[in-house]
Amino acid sequence: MTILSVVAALALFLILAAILAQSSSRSSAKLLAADLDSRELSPDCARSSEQILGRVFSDEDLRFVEGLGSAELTIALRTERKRLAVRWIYRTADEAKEIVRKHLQMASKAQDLRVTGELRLGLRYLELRLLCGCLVVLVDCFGPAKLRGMAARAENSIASLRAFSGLVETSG
Amino acid sequence: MFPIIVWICGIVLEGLLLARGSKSGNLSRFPMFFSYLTLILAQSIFLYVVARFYAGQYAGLYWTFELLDIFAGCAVVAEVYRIGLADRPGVRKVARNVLLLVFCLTIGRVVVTAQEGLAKWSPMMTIQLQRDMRFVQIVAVATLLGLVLYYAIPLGRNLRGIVLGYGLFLGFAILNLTLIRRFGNQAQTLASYVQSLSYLVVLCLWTTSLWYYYPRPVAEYSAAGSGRSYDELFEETQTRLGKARKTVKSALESE
Repeated sequence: MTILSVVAALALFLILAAILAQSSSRSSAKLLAADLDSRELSPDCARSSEQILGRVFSDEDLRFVEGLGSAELTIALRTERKRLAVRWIYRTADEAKEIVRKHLQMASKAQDLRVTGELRLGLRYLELRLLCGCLVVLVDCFGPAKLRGMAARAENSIASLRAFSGLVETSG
Repeated sequence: MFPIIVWICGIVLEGLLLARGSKSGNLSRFPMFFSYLTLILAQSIFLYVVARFYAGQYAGLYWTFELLDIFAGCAVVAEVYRIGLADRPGVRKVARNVLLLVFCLTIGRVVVTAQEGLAKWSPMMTIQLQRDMRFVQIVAVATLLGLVLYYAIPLGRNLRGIVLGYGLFLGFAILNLTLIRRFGNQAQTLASYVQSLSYLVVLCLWTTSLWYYYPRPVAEYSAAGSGRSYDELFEETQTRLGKARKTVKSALESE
């Protein structure tokens, strides 16, 4: 009980500090929300986001630049694409955060709020954030174009494994 | 001399806080908190007189009053719940269930210790009972504040001050009780200094945050959220999160 009491006191101090920090960060959160709201309204933005995604994670441009034979240009393109890819992932994570924030604001007013529903959404959000986090690390390590290639190779391996297990099952 | 100075400062601050509460109108807005404070002020004055003229009676009376304060503290937590979650029926429902459970645990703990004490009551049992009850209170406050944090509910400066002060007080109280329970009378002097000083800090925090009345900030999306069932909101959020996930995954998928 002694350790539990000390842990409880420390946890409470942490929560109190978070309450203090929350009140001071509220204004910046409002600005971000306004920014994301305006972006969400514009269909051009959604289209350009898809275009950025397609170009940044494909190796079409890279192959073209490599064909020119300039090492400096290739490095510059790789660095810039990496930066863009990371920025895009962070933006998607911010959008997910905003979706959840809006949900929480409205759900807190709903008379029939379900704890299980909240837990499920919370887990889904965590999964998405984790995915974004992993993607940032992978993009940083391998670059966006290679990452897509790796995913494709992994997919092929899984498909061949599935086909192999199917063969085993039918022969067994 | 030092403890007496801290004691008198506490009494002065409590009096000042009550006077300001009455002038700013906070007294009627937070009746439970100010009732708690009145009780503490009355106890402080009474115990001061007892300590000066009937020193032998002091220890017994102190621990009895401490137990009374724990129950009065539950009323402060209930007030934070009532005012802080007034416009959030969903969160209020969740918090109510948690607080009811915590209250039952507190009562349960008192009953169990009282039964143990029927055979032979010792001063250490009082300290243990207090520590356990403070622990349960901490769980209640932490749960309430956790919900406030998770749903980003604006408390307003006054209520935030009350809850921050009470939370600090609870944290230090349980640390002190643990110290006394663990090291016995050797830690008593140190614990009483820490407790008095931390309570003085809490009183300063309450005085500054409750000096004026600050209206609570208006909640965002109040119009958009009203009239929609939770299932509708759940479906919408799930779909939107699913879309976001699909976009992130599409970055990895081959063309």
